[in-house]
Amino acid sequence: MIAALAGLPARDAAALKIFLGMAFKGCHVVQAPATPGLALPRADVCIVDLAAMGLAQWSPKAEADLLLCLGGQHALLLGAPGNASWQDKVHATGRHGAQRLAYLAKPYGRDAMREALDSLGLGQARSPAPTPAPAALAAPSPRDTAAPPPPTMPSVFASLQAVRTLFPDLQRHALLGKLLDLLATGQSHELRLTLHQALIVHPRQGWVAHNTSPEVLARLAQQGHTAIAMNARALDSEDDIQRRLVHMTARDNLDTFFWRLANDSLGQGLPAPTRDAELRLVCMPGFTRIAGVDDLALQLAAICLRLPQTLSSLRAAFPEADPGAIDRFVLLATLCGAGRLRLLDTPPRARHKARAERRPAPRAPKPHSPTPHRGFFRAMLQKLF
Amino acid sequence: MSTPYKIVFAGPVGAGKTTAIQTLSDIEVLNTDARASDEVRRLKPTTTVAMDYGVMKLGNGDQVRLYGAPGQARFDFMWDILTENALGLVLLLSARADDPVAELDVYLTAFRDLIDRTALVVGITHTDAGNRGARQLVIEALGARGLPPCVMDVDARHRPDVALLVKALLYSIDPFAGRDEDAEAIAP
Repeated sequence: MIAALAGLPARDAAALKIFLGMAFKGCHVVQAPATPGLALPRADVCIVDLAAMGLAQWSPKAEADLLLCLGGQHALLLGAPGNASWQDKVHATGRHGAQRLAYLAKPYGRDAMREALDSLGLGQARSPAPTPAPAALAAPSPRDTAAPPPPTMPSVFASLQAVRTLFPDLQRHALLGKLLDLLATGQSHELRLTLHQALIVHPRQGWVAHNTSPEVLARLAQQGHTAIAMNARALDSEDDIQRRLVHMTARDNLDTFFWRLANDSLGQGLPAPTRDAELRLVCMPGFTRIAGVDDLALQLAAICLRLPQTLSSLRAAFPEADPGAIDRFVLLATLCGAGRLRLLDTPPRARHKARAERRPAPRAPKPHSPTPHRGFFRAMLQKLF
Repeated sequence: MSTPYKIVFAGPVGAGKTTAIQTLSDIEVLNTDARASDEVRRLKPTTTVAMDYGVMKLGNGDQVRLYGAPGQARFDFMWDILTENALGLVLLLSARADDPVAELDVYLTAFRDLIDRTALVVGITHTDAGNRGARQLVIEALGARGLPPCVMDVDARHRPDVALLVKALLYSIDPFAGRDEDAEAIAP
């Protein structure tokens, strides 16, 4: 099939070229200049931008000029938005002898374009519409999930008590504990770490400013006892905050800062959870600003962003993963404010057994959703990392 | 047999779509930048009028085509075409924007069909320019609209950032992506 495009702007021509190539197998597209009175090249269909041809308004003369250009060929006429002068005429006549004409007003979409081309009798030449094969992997619709309520970061306040109940050993990480206490007040604070080094936390605006290096912070996080001597001061006004900010050299988002700090505080070890708990993520943690994020954390986040998950169900869903890594994710996601934690009555082991079958399954495929074949995801993930 | 897949990058003018595709593509990105119209010239001297096109060539022979949709709403015809059979949508919004949520809404409306069918991740670019609250605003807006708030700050020039965003998109499509395939690959 040959399609001639006349007068279309470059962007629209590029778009139509792609579209025609996809919709009509082997379609060849030629472009013609928008010159009134110039005969268009021979084609199975001409697609004409009326305004570019100087024919925006219908008139007997404009119609005669157009028909001269078309030379008896089928045509789809593209009109300006809200201009019905051609639309009425084309719909009234539909065809001039053997010549078929169709009209489409801008802006038009894929389906309207297909329908218009079909009305010119080009439907037989069309490539079959892609029909997704049944697949093991389904593309989920976010709207299928239970809609999470509007998040308010950081949500760590709501979960602080739950975290401390679940992981009582956290108490010995003094710097982390002190900062969490400050966060829980909801007020801005300055925490003086040493004579010259300090932190400012601004819970409402979701940031932390400091004048220390990550290495010093990590060391302080691990030497928790030093935090006992740290001095915290509430910053009551924005002026006060701005004055203190002058001395700060770096500013981080609260969530990524707390993820890193908690991770450093825990080091290699992790206290065992005392019971099962359910995590609901209210947002994806800022993983692009956290070094060393692995696939498991991304996977767990993707799951918990869809639906709340218990520690047990996550362990059941990822039996090959280190349970400690899952516990760590739940803890860090909560402490960074991206998740809300709810304590459950049953111990993790019992729930693990009871919910072993509760793997959050991919949902059923939707019509027209792409369905990657086996091996695609693995190859793609390898490519990305 | 190799299979072509498609991921669409969308977002306003200057959000970093072209750059993000360049950081991932294995071919030189084809684009149809042109002199911008008056309305966008103050933001960017050239802008994408049709699309950007890049390709990731995977180890198994598959290809992932990366399409950058033009950033101006009046080219929405292109959006419609580019999203056909796409795996998902990577939306880039600039933290410099006066109202990132208004821009988010434009794209949520325009790509609603694709988002309903597949998955959405949002990258906030230009966070170094201030407005640290942009990500939080977008998170809240997505949550309020019933969409999973998968939003991360990204530097479109930094491959690990863009790769992680795309990876989050894949795991949003299937959280177990690649795992069963791994098991199959090592099975006797």
